[in-house]
Amino acid sequence: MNRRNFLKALGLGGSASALSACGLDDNRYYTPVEQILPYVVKPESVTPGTPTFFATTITRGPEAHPVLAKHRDGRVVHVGANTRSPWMASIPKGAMLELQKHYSPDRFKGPQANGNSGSTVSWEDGVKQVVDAVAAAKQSGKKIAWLGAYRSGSYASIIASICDTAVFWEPMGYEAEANAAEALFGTRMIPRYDLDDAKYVLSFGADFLNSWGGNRVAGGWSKARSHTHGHHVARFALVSPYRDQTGANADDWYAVKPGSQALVARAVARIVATKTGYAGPALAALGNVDTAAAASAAGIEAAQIEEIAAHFAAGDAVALPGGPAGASGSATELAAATFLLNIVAGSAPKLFSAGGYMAPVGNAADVQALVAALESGSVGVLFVDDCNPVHALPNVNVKDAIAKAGLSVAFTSHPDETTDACKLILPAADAFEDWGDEQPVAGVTLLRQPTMSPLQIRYRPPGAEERVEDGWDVRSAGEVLVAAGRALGVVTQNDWRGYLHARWGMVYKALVLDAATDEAPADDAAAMAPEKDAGFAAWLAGRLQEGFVATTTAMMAPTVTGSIPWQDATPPAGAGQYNLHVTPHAHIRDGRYANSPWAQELPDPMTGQVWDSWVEIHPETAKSLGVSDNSKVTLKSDAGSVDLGVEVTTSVRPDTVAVQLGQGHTNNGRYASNIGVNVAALVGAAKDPQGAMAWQSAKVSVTPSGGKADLISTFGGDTDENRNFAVHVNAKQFGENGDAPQAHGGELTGIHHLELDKRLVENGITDFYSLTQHPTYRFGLTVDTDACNGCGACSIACYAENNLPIVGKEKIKEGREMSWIRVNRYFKGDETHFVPMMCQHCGHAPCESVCPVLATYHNLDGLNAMVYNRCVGTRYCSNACPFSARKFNYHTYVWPEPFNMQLNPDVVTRTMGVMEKCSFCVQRLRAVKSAYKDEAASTEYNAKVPDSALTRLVACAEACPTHALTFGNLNTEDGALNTARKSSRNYMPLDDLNVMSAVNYLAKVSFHAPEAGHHGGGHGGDAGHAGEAGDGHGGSDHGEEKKHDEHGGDAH
Amino acid sequence: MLRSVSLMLAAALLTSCMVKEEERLNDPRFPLEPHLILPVWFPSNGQVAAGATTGQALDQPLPFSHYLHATKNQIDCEYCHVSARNSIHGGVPQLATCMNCHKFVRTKSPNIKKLKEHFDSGTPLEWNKVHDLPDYVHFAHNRHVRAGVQCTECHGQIQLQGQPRYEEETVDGETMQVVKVDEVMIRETTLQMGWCLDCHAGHPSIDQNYGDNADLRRAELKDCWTCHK
Repeated sequence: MNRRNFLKALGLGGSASALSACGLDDNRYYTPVEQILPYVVKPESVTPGTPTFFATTITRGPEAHPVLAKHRDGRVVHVGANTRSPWMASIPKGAMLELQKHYSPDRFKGPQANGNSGSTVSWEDGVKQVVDAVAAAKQSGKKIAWLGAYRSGSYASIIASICDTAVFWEPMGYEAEANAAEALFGTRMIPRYDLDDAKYVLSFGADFLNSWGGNRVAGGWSKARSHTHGHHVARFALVSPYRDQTGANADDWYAVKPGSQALVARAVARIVATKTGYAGPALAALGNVDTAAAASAAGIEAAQIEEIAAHFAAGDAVALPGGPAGASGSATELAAATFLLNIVAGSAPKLFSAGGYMAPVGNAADVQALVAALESGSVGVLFVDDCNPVHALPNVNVKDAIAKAGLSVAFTSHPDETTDACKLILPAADAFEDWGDEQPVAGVTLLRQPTMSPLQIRYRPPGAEERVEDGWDVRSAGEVLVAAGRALGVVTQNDWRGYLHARWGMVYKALVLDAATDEAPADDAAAMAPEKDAGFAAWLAGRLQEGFVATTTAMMAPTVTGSIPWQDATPPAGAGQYNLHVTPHAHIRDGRYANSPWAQELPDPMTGQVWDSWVEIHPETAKSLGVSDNSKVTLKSDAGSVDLGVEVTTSVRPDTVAVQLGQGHTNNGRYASNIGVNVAALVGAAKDPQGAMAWQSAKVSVTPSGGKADLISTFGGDTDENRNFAVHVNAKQFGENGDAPQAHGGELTGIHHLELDKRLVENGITDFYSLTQHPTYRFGLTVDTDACNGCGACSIACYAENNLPIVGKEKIKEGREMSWIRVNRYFKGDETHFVPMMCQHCGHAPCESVCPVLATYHNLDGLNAMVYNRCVGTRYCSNACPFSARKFNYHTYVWPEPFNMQLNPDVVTRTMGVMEKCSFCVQRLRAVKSAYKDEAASTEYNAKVPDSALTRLVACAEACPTHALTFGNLNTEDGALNTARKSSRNYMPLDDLNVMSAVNYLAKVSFHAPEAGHHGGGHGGDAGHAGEAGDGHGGSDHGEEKKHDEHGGDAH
Repeated sequence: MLRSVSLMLAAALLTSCMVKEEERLNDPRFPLEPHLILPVWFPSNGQVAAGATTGQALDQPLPFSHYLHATKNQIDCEYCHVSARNSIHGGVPQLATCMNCHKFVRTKSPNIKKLKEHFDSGTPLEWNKVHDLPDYVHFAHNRHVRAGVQCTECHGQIQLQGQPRYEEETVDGETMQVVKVDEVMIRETTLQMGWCLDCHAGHPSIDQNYGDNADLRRAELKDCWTCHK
């Protein structure tokens, strides 16, 4: 018996004991017989095995994003950017999390009564209960109330016509901005910010690169930052007591005392007004403020306020409000002050304009008023929609109040603490199943359409008895609302489709019928009901294909018509020594994605923490308290107390401690429940005078309780230990040429490849090893660490695309997380660098030479290929990899149903005992090569996929809101990838290992980095010292070297 | 003898070494597949070409005869298998395609009646997969068809399979010849990796399509990541 037969026999024995009911195949392995179920009638838009893309709208309200849902064989498996859209042409991180929520095993399977573990009811019964209750409420004069997350467009319209009171509120929302706009401009709205051409961005804490304002603001910022866009590098200053992931990207951080931001903003505005000579109504609205007093209240120098003002008055500056970070007792005033600052500086309407989000935005005060109304028993029907006030306002007695409503109906599709309090749960179709529209700004309507049929775990023949466990019986909330509206006599249409078509018909009329002046006027019927016009269906089909309807509206500067009463600084109050700063969780946000294991498993960008809550404490404070990382402490405020682990960080003022909101759920599905603590318990129910939630209003005492907490961070440390992972270049020096292609690339960093001994170069010996030839493609990636803001969208997209398993906290403790991309965070002086690290697809890969079974090797396309079937699990490769890019499967992970339905069929799921790592999305490369071959109608060998089809091809590059990742073919000389590599900012981490990475990085542009000396191409350790380190590596021989650098070598 | 002894030994060894991690395996949040010790002895996913053995027919829901359709009635393969040129899946036809003809042809046959029942009730037929590649293999019908590879090169003499025999039956008082097929479909080729590589190393279409670059193309076609996903 030879080795092969022995293995076969062994396989047979093992399998035979484990499996039954299988066929014996040629190799004598027992393998299951699978079935083919062809369509009865195939939908026209679907070809089995080929993806179909549906344009739709994901996430809601001011953050609605147009996206393309990738539909494959009956289900949505991925979400991509709708690049044709004029509004937010990138995918939000939330889109991936919504996708995972869509397949959540904890979703409500159908309507049920009496809370999360209540009894099932039928849709017919449920809708009848709603209709009856609504009619009864109308008769008895009781209120019909709505409490939900932001909704715009048709949903906002139908809700307004049905409900007497509608409160659209999100815990960490935009209420301060809406209040300020109402007070100053007379219109309740969220203003629009266009950062593309900004030269100075002054943020008072808004998390605008992650959870605030949607991707468009983040995308605008990266353009402002990109030298190629506007020939300048924008500067970002943060005025806030806490530096979150967005704040970590700031060039200047003014760590002011909490509650003083509004004063600082007004002081800056007064100085700017003097400098710009502004004398309009905004100046009067600003009131008087003394710079020295403001500085003293903020705990900074008056000169620093002058410095900010000087930058701001230089032109093209924009101030962003505080968002949740600025939500102190003067939240609305802060927003108002930033608006006035923008106006006096002349930034409106170019960077700051009026045509923002016009749909209703509720206040915390409105929620409390609604709770009072509920308690008084005056509410007949309460609708709850994707909003969880029981969790966010633990000190307002929401739960008991809901019980006093005549009927409480939840449209939320997942169990949470608030649905548990409701009498009736009608799980609504989510963004992948529903019809609808959103209006994130004036002039843009984004359309939502179903992208798949409701989920079914198992195939059920029609006619067979229906069982709830077979699938998810969800329906559109719109259908229920139309039924309720008909009962009240305020809606005339028969169904939700009819309601939407009537509204879209009006758009059609305005855009098409009224515009067609040369034709005969439309007949009366068409004027009354344009959706009945002959051309409507075709017009709508076209719009649905695009996913949006856009009308051009000129951007208007808001006019100041009112004023706002100003207070002094509003520091947190109460017993306790430290200010409490509450900040949204970087991925879970206000708690909405807490039950998404991706959001839980993705490390916090700043601390690397997973699956927990923690308190961030300044090192000085930690020292005085005698605590260190992972110490257990008790935080106690007047409102409550929580126990937490400590994360020591310089990202917070010494007199302040910061905790993330979003965790601490008790009844929110299997992944969210009993993880971390709910910091909202410490806050109470304080509001500012205009009614906005005052999150930053509590003082806490911090008491070490001894012992260690159970925190686990995936980060190895705070610095790159001078190993060229985090590199910066001087902004002024960089500004001379920007990212314009240089002769060689990497001039300012001096870190691009190993300097060779001159004698070797003269003799034509460039390398000890020969490089693999790459005649057609050598794929590569460039990561711009200046554009990367650390949000982690790339990593989640990778989980979704490549079927990465979720391992949970216990396994992460053992170092077994499976993420193929980790976004490393390094501190370098005051700067924070985010460096996404994935397999570098090295030309001389250390992993390849150590593999005993050739499971990993270099292929013709320059990919470091990994063949799972060959891998025997020695893990030598992982040991050899200098970038720690390889992950080992210690188990065969199983996806709880129906998470498995999101799995990408083009990627195999790995089994226990094999190594895996980034493949540069080889399945997408295969697909694009195949598509291009068809398109070119050519099998000509040299027909290459054009560069434009590659730039955003890989999942991480597609998902990046700031386009920090550029993918491409290094053999295309003038392609985007090679152009990026010729930037003077180019560098390669661990370049001295001479591994010839296919992944290169572009250095962070810093206003504080020392200038490099003459770019001698020195192989400097730290870019900051590149000048000195360049000694001995004279720049004179650079010209010759170019010929055989790593890209050139492969191209020939 | 040696073979069976080693076989029994292996089976006994492996069953006794089942790792007991019951609690961890049944975690509703992070379930794991139960595994055996010595995982490295198994090929990943424990399977190569799956499904039936070469030459073995599987039970099928209808006695479909490729011989009658493709040879006797000269229907082109791609009339039914429409996505073979456009998708990675060749595409078992939708029932609507069958009904294009069988709305009119042999409507009284009990086989066609069964087909119509499925069509009318919207119930798909559940065919047993005869040509089944393991899940870790990326196989694109479209690339092969477009390169000029004939269906029969992988599927064998499929147009001759499903040889019909006729039996007289009385249906609804009418006596007719009903088609019976003993072996609806068999897999004539092994669909194993070595067999794939025979063509990937030397199929005449490579020279035809790629000319001077044929050697390069052959090298590309032998790359693991051409097929392994």
